[in-house]
Amino acid sequence: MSSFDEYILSIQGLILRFYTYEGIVEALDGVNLNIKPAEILGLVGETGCGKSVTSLSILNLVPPPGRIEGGEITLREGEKTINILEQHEDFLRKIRGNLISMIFQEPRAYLNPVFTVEEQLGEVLVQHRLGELLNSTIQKIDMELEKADKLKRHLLMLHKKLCLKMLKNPRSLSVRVASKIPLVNGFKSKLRMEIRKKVVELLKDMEIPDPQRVARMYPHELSGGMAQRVVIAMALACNPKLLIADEPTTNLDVTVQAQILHLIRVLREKYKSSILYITHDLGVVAELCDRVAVMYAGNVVELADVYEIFKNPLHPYTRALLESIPRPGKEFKSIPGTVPSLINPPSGCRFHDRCQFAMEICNKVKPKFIEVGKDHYVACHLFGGGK
Amino acid sequence: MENEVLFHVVKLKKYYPILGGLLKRKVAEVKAVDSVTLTIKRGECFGLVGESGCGKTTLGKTMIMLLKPTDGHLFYDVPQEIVEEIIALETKDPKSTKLKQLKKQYCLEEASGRKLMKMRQKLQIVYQDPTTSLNPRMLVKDIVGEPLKVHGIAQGSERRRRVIEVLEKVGLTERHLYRYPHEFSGGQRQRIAIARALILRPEFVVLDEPTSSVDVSVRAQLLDLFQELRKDFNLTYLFVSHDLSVVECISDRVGVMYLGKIVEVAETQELFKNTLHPYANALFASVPVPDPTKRKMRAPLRGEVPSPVNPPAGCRFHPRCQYAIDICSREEPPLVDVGNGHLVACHVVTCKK
Repeated sequence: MSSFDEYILSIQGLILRFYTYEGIVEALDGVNLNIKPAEILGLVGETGCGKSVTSLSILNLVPPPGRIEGGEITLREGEKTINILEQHEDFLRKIRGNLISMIFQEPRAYLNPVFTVEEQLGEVLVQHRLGELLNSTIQKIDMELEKADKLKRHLLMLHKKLCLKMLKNPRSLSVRVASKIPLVNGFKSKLRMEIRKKVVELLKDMEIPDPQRVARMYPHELSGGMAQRVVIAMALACNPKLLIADEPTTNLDVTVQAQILHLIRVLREKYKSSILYITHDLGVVAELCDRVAVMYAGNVVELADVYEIFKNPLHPYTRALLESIPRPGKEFKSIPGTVPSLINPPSGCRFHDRCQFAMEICNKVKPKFIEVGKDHYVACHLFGGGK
Repeated sequence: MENEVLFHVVKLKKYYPILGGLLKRKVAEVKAVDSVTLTIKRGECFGLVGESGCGKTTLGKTMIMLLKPTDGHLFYDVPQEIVEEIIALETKDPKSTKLKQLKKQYCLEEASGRKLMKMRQKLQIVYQDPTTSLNPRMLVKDIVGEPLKVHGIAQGSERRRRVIEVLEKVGLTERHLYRYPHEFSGGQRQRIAIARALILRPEFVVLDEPTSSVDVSVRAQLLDLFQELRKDFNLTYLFVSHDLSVVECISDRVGVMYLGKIVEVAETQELFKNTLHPYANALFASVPVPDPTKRKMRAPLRGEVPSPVNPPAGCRFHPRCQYAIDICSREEPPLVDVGNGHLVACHVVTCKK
């Protein structure tokens, strides 16, 4: 693949297997993918083709019995490159929700029903942005100090000291003890005020009307669209480099979907995050994405610019997929056959038994993922994938 | 015969009470369906679209008397003159005995007991999710044959013969008779549900989002099946769906619902080409087009659907409508024919005409 520098995330030859009682499921079979800064990359494919596990691999969150058995996932952070699969769990916890965050299909299932929106959004900030919050709290205290009388001055100085201590070590004994003593623990409510301000700001960014009120609501009080906005706010709280969106609009009405898509577009401009957008809806892809990766049975079969994919699809599967879109006045065209079982996937190219252009080589040799045009990659023997 | 109206729905209302307080008295009402007037012609497929919670399903269920209407009339297969007579009498002389008699004879919502049973044979429904609408402890032969048993139409070998006949119609075979619903795929389960609805040879079938729980390729097959059955059985459909592309493909006429009201009705082609109501416009514009060159960069419809407990006064769409004028917040727009059977309920559109 061409110069590596222009990507913020690159996946090379990722192999993932699930060890189940029925046999070994070869869920990902050498996935190659790269994401540029501040772009929206669409990842499309049918149910069970490995879209979601690819995204979970990026966070190294694949649940057992799944195991990543090969390949590389590298994330660029400034000048450094981080190989995610080799990192320790503690380090990954710092990355998740901070450099890379994720939004899921069913927003209500990912919100805790017994905490308010504010508490849940605040938690992300406390986890990853405690330093910033404390600094601004200290600034606030400094401002109050100027006006305070003698008695209050002492208390404020104490608060400031505790904040500084917390800045060094949030779990230090003195902070924990002080937070239990009345009056002295006033520094906590000051911190909470700071968090609230930040939360309301975030909710306002999500185009939520009346953010102060919404911040105090519980998830069940929110509509589906609202809940999804809250989840997006949570994901963007730390201004991540990469946002993974796993079918975020599938369960929403079309009008709400249009609102969320518009929001994602606006937020991309504002936060300058790259977005990996997973969906099976080609309409959404056309509407939103800059580049598209098409997945089939654990492989990325084609990767290109969105205009290129819709105008000049090369891989037979991509073509079939585009033809299966229901359009009024046209017959439905479904792809013959069914998605193969990944326990015993077809040899060679995994699409060959459903492909109308299949040649002899297709069931023997797995086609390589090669660049055929400018930034247009395809894995198919028709386009020289065997060389 | 072509244009004969099979189903007249006149000012149909369905309110759900909200109970509250110590005595569980009614404190408010959810106006799920509010004064809907609608006609469905014999042999057509009437599509009903709208967002979730707009009352599509409630309307469908109320029409076939699975829910008792709060108010309004349902005329099933009643001559036009009688419908008009009843409506005229209602406004002129609501207490006359003649009206009472006529209503008892013709109105579907007045039917009960044996008469309703008889009507039910003609009115059937296919539900959204076949996993919940089929009893997991019954065999396919019992599920599909149950309507025959309930209505005392056929039993023994005759029932079996009829079950097999209808199963074959929906693309299943005799082999499937002694199986349980869990042994089938989603598409096949929906076929069982369709078979059960069709075994009584109904005339009118409500299809309540029958394709929303299946994959895209299965969806295409089911839609084909619906078309085929419609011809074979001379069926009339009410096709309830939120999937606009499906409705566009299968329906002859389409009604758009918003918050318990029908805001626009027209023939499918006409409606999708020449959308008049601002809500219908916004709804259609929200559907993503699978073509990146036709990207819509403008802002989508803002806000959310208001609560049906306390809907906005006047036109229910006016708080979100970008064309709203003064009158919209005061008066409720009537459903007006603007030509070619294209009905629309919007002050702005009707003022222009």
